[in-house]
Amino acid sequence: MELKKVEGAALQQDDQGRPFSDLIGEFQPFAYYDKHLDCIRVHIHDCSAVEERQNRIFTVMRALHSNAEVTRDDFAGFNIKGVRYLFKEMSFGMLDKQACYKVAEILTAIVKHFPNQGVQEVSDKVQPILERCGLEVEIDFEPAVA
Amino acid sequence: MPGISTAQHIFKGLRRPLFNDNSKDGDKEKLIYTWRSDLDFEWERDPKNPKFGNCRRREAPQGFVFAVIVSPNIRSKGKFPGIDCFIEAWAWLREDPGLRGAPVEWVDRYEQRIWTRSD
Repeated sequence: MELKKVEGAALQQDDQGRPFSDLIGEFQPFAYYDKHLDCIRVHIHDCSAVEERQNRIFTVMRALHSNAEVTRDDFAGFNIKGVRYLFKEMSFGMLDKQACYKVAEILTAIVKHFPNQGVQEVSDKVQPILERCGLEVEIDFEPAVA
Repeated sequence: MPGISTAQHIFKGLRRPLFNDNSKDGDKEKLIYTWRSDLDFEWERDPKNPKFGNCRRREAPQGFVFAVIVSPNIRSKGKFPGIDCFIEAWAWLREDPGLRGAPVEWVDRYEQRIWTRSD
């Protein structure tokens, strides 16, 4: 999508002439699969965040500033890293097809397969949020190299 | 506004398995640019109408660095001949106490440091 700059004003519409404001809605927590870094990104709050590496599987995001919605250091989201390798190790999901998963179910599988303290701690923190939001993520792995 | 061109370090390779761009060794190809930034920006929604808002300039807190992960264009040259690299992601990370402008545990995060700005 290309955004048009209207002379004398900030960006106001896209290349289809739709007002920019129509493309922005109220923030809702969301999750997506970042195929370029092979990770699932879960955003709970819309804020600038610092990423803190917990272990080889999880990175946690914390709010970098206080604003109307969050206080600095609040939990803002998390990443699940190395998803393709994780799925393979856990024999979870489908590596050759596009599919939709509940993030809570992926997390439960990770805790079951890697029962260590670090994994359990992250899970305890985020599972209540995930259950409340019911977040789902669509994953479409690239084809494996022959 | 200065950004990635003010990078203080460039690292190569993520220390985690990464299947990417049809390569099982996607982790080894990534470049990571890091620097101390004075600035940050947040989208500030209008509380009365969340469809509207402003980009708010914030002062970056002390003790953090900005990191940008870049993928060299290796396998898409045919499709994008004029593109050298793709910016994949960016994040704030805590700063390493021993190396100004680098993220904490950079030795565990990245395979190697390939460039540092000489001040």
